[in-house]
Amino acid sequence: MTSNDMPSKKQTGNRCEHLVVSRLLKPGPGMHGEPLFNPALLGSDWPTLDIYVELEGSFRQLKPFFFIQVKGTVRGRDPLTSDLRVQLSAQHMRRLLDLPAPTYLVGVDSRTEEMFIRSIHDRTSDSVASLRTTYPLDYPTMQMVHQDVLAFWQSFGRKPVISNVTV
Amino acid sequence: MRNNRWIEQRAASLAHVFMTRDPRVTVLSQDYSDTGLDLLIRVGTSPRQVDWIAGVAVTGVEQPPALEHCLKLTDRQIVALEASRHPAFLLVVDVRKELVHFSWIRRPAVESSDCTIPTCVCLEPLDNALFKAHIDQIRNYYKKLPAATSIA
Repeated sequence: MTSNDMPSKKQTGNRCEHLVVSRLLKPGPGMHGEPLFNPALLGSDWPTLDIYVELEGSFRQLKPFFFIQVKGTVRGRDPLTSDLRVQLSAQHMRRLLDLPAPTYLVGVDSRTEEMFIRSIHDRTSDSVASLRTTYPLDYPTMQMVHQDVLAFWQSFGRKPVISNVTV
Repeated sequence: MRNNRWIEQRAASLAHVFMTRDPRVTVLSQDYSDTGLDLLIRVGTSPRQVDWIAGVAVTGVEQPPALEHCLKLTDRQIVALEASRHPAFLLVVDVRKELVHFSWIRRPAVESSDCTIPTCVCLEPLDNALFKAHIDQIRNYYKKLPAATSIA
């Protein structure tokens, strides 16, 4: 393969985002199983957020949602720790933590197409140096994420009770 | 009512992932497409090969497709395809089994003067090696195309 044949960083990034979207849309088991999520790619105008995801299902009010930052790598895993070699900078970490909605980091090995997820909610760490491979982005993990996000929005006040621009 | 939007969405993402396993393939934004198909890909890898492109129609299905498949092209798409010199192909993606089927819509043939777009095509199961061979065909087509006519 020549250097011209090597995909650019942007191409690798796009490929990883589509890998994650296709996984989030994986239907449940059985002939009529449907996906747990309805994802939408946000595009390059959003530097910290890559995918907006709504939960599928019938909800009386707001559809619960969350955000994903995708980090792709061609460097695979650390041979000692088995961690995926992706990083999240302190700046991106802070931006994700400041969002009043559930946020997750998904690391993608673009060669093997393996994907792993972790929640970004804990302010005790200020960046991510590598991603543990404890939670592969498979259907059981996606069910756990679905439960997490649903629980968050069920406990959250959905509308402000006052406003400066009430008429 | 059942929402089937995910089928087309998953088919498009799986098609993107499948095609970009070949590092020579870049998926361009829909906005650049003059064929009116779902995706436009670039198969050139150097600045001189910037116009080595192909149109891709993507269809999502929930069960393995029949091998004969009728295209659902609009009149506008057919006119654009017949006027274009760019090759085009169809990917039918089984969104449950993650299998991909392929057929040419417009073959990459320099010699052929027949630019009629078929209404029905024969699908073949696609794997990485076969897709690479099809990309080789498209690249060879552009290599043979006279330089003056290679730009759309």
